Amino acid sequence: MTSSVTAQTDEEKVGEVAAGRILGAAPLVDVAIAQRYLNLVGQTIAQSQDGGYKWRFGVLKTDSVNAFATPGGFVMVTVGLVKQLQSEDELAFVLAHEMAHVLRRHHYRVVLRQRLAEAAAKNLQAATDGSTNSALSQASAEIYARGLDKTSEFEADKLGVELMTRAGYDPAASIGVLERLQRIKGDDPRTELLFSTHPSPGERLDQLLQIGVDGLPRPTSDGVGKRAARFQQILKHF
Amino acid sequence: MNFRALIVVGALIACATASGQTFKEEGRLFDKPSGTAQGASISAGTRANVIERQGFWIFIQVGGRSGWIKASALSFSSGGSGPTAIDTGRLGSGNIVSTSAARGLSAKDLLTGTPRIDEVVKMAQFSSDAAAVRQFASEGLVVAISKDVSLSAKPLAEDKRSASGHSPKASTKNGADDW
Repeated sequence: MTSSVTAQTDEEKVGEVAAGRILGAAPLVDVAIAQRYLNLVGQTIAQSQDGGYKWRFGVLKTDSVNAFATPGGFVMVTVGLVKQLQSEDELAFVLAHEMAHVLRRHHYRVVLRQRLAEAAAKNLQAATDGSTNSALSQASAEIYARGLDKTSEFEADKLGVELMTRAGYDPAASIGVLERLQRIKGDDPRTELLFSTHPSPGERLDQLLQIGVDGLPRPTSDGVGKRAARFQQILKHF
Repeated sequence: MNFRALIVVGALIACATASGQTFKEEGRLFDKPSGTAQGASISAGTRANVIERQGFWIFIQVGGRSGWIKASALSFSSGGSGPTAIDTGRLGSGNIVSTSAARGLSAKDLLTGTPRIDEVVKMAQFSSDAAAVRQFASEGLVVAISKDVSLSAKPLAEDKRSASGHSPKASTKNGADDW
């Protein structure tokens, strides 16, 4: 397996390999208008911050309810999750949460720690990338199957809400998303991976409210309504 | 379906439809979002059913009464609905275990699927240029905020580092919450 010629930094290379693993489990859904829409929402958020990443967004063809972010700026959400949302602002929260993982390098740091551990075990210098692509691919799959720690998820919620609010979206949409996820039955197989890799929606809600999400500035209701309507148009394609 | 199975199904349905949260502190219900408090105080720990949400205000039923309350007045993790630590296979605080999902995108799918770098490359073709993004934002009345927007760094749970790794900042509050 070779990586794309577009990958430049090590972080991008790691992210590309990890994204390839996720897309191997669920490819992009063949609805171009939805793919472009997702990218427009994500890039709208990206425009108001200085991460320096080349962001790429994709909708995955699976009814599973989940979203993923890999190092270097690859963000993916499932059709199953999109169908659970009710507005563009709610989608913005989901994308911003994932972008926050990238900006805080949550997954990339795990990869780096694993490299250090492997190098130490082999008694080698850890200055360079000693992993082959296939070993990196397998390690990446394990990270996403296992999930991050709670602190990283709470941090992604916090930064995610800040990012979406700064971009001009409604921070109250974060409450809508988490409350709706909370209503999903615990034994729904579409959400099993999501709930096994994240804190409960209730905990996430409590954390956000504790740190003052309800004090953030909100956009006008006209804008929220307009965006919800165009989101509903996209939903019809699924 | 036998009688025992019916009981289990009934219980699951009841859990799914009721969204019970609890009052974090003693509080009163409001007649509308940002409206007037009315009626007797409700004790901390009282369970309430969420009926509707409007912004950061929630319409609840508690006892024989109903009314609006700020979302921050409720605890969402002490309610009984939704996934629990047992449901998700999570063991202990902060620990994460993988599960074997019966359907949907599972941990096993991620671990055993064939990587698709061609699909990764394909993602790039759906990006738009800066002008198209600005137009999209304009059409949707998405107006970026120029002032600093940041939440308090103080998390609920005890942790050795702050949630963001940065110094705590005061949150911006303008109180706009009327819809």
